[in-house]
Amino acid sequence: MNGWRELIRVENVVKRFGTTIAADHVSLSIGEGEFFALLGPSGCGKTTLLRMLAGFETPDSGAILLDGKDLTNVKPWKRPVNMMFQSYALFPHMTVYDNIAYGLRQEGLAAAEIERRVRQVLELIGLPELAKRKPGNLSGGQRQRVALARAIVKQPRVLLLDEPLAALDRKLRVEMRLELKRLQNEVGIAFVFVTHDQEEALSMADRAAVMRSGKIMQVGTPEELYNTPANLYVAQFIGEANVFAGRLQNSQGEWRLVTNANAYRVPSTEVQRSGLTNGEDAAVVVRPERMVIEPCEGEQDSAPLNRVFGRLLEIAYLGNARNFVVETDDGQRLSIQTPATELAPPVCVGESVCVGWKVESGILVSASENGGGKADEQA
Amino acid sequence: MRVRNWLRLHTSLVYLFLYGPILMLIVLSFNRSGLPTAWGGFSLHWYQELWQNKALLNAALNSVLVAGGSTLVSAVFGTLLAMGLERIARNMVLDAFVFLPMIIPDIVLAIALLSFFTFLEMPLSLLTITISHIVFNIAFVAAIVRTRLSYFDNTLEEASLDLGAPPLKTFFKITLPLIFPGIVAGSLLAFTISLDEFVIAFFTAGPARPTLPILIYSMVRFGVTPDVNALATIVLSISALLILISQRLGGTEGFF
Repeated sequence: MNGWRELIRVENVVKRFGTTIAADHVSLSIGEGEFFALLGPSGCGKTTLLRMLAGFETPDSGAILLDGKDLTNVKPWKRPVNMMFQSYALFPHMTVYDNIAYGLRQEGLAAAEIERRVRQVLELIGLPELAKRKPGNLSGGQRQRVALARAIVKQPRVLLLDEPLAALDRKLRVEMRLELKRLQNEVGIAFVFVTHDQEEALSMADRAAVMRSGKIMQVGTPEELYNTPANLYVAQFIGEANVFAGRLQNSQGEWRLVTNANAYRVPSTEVQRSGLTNGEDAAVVVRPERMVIEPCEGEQDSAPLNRVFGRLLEIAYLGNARNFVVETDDGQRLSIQTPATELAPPVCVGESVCVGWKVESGILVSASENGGGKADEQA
Repeated sequence: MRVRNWLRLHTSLVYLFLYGPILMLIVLSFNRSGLPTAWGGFSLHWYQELWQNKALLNAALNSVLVAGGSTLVSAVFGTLLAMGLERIARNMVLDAFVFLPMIIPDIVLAIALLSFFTFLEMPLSLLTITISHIVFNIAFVAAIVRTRLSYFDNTLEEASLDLGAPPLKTFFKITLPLIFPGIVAGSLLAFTISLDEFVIAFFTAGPARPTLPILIYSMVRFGVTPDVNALATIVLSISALLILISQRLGGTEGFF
């Protein structure tokens, strides 16, 4: 993050609705021009946080700052922040042109200036010919673009997007990810978007905050979240994870995770990173693509692999990869993925197989889902 | 099959029963002879007579004044009431009580209003009729605007606020235009009901200026002249037209 400069600062924000807590001491920094995702399951408080940034909700305590200025009690119509709504909220009684011009008219700009800026943004979203249409006569994708244009034409410091792609069909959604990324690059405004779709967050965001029950579990780049999750929750929420739970033990300088049936070697770098110590409950997370699967033929080369034995339940060919589902001897299900460009491993459904992973591929996290570790330091 | 035919016959008879008298009234208004028993040929004679009947025309004007005045007031307050109920109160009891004036027997409402005005020592006049009509007209407007509001997407208002329009401006630029068809529909219905309302008007009317239904009632007692048929036909046409427009606008699609 070269030249990263703080734009938004959320300080210890708390928001309750009755007995449910939507924001539980949330603190967060978002940089200028950053593409930032608020990621979490429904009800985790991500939309409430977004609405507090827009000014539709007021925090019970804590503060929201923009450029160092306190925004907490500034009304929505006075904030240099605009929002794109999940339903798009286009005004049905106005043309596309009037929808986009609406915000500029509130600023009292000259008609010529409004016209110039509306034309410009229509050009930017590639729909200059639709200016005279009513929203009712637009396709879903076109509505989404118009909603986006209406928000960015005001040139806000921050654009908030509430599930921007949720209303589109799958194919369009994937296209629009790239499109949003391109637009964000072009206009240079900070985008903060809410999504429950981790794939969407990983593919678009520069950084993302993973939320759960009003708390931020981790903030990081997509790679950080995937490769160095702060806790078990993040590890399981971002991407697929095979989880081995047990107790961390140090014997003669070597770290191991001891489970009911097995003991797996753990890289000491992970022990340092996670901040866990001898005797603590912990879990090793292994991504499916980091695992190998092979027929069980007794002891093989003593490469630095952790091994576990099981029975192959299922093979799925996905075109670019093969997926294997293995049930281990103690009943756990594992998911293994190998690239389709490699030869298929010589294993058959129903047979005993051996699953392994390189010791350094194991990610060590605290076993409690709220996992202490270094989560708080990173956020 | 037999059952079907019986049902068909029954349906026709019911419709005849419902609309026969009205149809006859319309036909008679064009009857030159003026007698309900003898057809004297087609004529607009009774419409011309009506034009000469100053008392009837004045009463008609009074009715329009009462209906128009009570409708205008009801449109404003009924709309605000609907917004209050939809957005703030959300209270079953309040809801029920708002719509009660639509169901309370007219005679009860009439007696209540009369004693109310007597209590206030308010002289009975067109004003007291208008106030009385506002009582039930507000309920009609509120009911119809509320239906419209329940389809209203509240994020539209948030979007307007977000784009820099303060709440009052948002109301006039976004909310009002979008619920306007509902307001018009409610108003037209209110106007129609008020125009030919008899019981409440009869109780709260002053001696000097009767509304149309009151005048016709008094005329009937002293012998009806056939120009009343012509007048009734006109009132019927206007009411039917207003109800038609009102139903069109009351739907969800509305103007846009």
